[in-house]
Amino acid sequence: MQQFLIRSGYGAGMWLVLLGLVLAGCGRGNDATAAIELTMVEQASPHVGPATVRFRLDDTQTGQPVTGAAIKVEGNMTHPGMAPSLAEATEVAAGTYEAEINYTMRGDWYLFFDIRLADGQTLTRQVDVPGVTE
Amino acid sequence: MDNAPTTTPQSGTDLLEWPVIGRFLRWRYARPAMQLPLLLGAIVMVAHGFVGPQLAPRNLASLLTWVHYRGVLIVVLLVAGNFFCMACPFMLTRDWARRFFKPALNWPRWLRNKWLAVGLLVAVLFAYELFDLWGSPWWTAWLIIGYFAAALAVDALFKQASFCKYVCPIGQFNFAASTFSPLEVKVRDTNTCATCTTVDCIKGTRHPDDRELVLQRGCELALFQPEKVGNMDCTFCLDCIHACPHDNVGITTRLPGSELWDDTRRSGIGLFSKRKDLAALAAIFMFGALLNAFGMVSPVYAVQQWIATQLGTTNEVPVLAILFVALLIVEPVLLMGGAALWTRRATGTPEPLMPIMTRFAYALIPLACGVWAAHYGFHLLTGLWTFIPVTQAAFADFGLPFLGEPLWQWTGFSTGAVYPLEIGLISLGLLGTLLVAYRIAERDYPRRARRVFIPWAVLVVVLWASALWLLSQPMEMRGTMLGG
Repeated sequence: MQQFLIRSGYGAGMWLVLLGLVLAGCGRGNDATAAIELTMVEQASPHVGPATVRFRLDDTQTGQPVTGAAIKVEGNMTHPGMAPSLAEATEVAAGTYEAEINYTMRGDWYLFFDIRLADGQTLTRQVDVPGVTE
Repeated sequence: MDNAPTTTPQSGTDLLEWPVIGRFLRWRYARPAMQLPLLLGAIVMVAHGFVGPQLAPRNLASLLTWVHYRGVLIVVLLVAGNFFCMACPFMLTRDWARRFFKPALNWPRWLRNKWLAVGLLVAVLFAYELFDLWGSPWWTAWLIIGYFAAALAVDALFKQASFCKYVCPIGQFNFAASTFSPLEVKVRDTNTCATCTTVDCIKGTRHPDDRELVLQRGCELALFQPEKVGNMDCTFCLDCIHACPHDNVGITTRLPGSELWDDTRRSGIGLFSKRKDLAALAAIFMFGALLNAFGMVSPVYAVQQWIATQLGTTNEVPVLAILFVALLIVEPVLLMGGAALWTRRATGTPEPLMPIMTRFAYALIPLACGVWAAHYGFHLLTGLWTFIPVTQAAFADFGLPFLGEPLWQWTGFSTGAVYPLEIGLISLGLLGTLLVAYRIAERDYPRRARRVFIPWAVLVVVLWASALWLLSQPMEMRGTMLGG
């Protein structure tokens, strides 16, 4: 039994190192929705407290705004384990969306956009919000 | 200096006598059975660190390392003992490697102390701030792999548990904190040891026909059970328990911190009062706790910006270096040196300051435990449930979405709810430190204990107040310290 456990441990450890070396070189595959661009239109200056996040979605290939998308927005700190601020965006004009985010603490934040397009395709985008202050 | 002998309180409950836990710990495969799940967890974390999202809150490598592992580690140390060294996955891979690489070298004599490990502990704290390790799953994954590689390399070359005793920064953290643990691996009946002729607890058990074949290891950290005092350097590996043919080693309860004022000679360690390196570890454990917490609050950015302006630089290395030197060398030397000077005046003796500082440094450990527990406990509790959605998302990332839609709203306790607990932990640490400082004063200066105690009480109250001040500051976690 001990032999088995120790042998398993070593085997797993070796795989761990190998896995690290292999995975470290891995890249992401092509994103079929890469042409969809998210641009911040208006973002209240990053201060602690509630903030309206306004952004646009555009298809850079057609030059058309992306309408009818269902978008979940997560505001979170770059430090793991903090409470995120979650919201669903509403479309306020063609391709323009708004969400209410609550920056609960000073520091570096990011906005994570989980987007489902009208045709069912999904994509994610991220915008950094560094240095939220009082 | 007056020096009176002290005694260690006799132990109470023996964990090995408990129905289920005791039976499990007596099982000779208990340690690998605990190590294997942590090893598998490390593999998952490394894999996710490399191929998962490079957002620290959404990645298992960064989340489990910097929120859950650290938090559970300090909690287990303070409510039980050094069970994380017991379950250390690095030692599992190292044990198997040693089947192929028999180490031939002895650890160099000039390195048989804690100076290297203390330096590495400071280096880890420095790298944590400089590279914002908490915010990088990729670097965290490499850190885990680097740790495995370092443990393998050191213990493939050097005999015994050289990595644990002389190198491992996490191990030194655990050793320091475990001096305040309620459990201790300890001889049950010293009379049994007095008649023992085989000393298997230190030598191990070898095959009768092949003396090269080790059937059961003895203590690889050079802790001879009959002369072992306290938890310093004890990894709870259970080798001594399994090796003892008389079933005379247990895991017993004790008064937490009582070993800190016990200055009897310890096997594998010597006298606490003569070990400047161990005293430095205790001091770094205390002031490092404040520094690590200081890195999370707003004033640190103002201080760093001021230093950077004075230096005319935007390079974070010299700025952080100055901060570290100020808080980990200058501040301890000034504060502890001041208390030692006051002690010398109170006793009217020409005793050098360094021995006084060395003896009283151990008193700082309980307060340090309180500060570490408050800091890491904060992250653990406020992010307690975050591992659930991140695990759900990680399996989905690996093409196994069977855990369902991630429950991102699952977080943990509010910061307001955790705040009183933080104050309580730091204040309990203060009480422990005051008790230890008084007992050391009583031990070394029985006729002037109160007068000697006062400067150290003032010192620890100052440290306690600074910890409370840190808690009251607005939190701010940034990776861009110098306005970058």
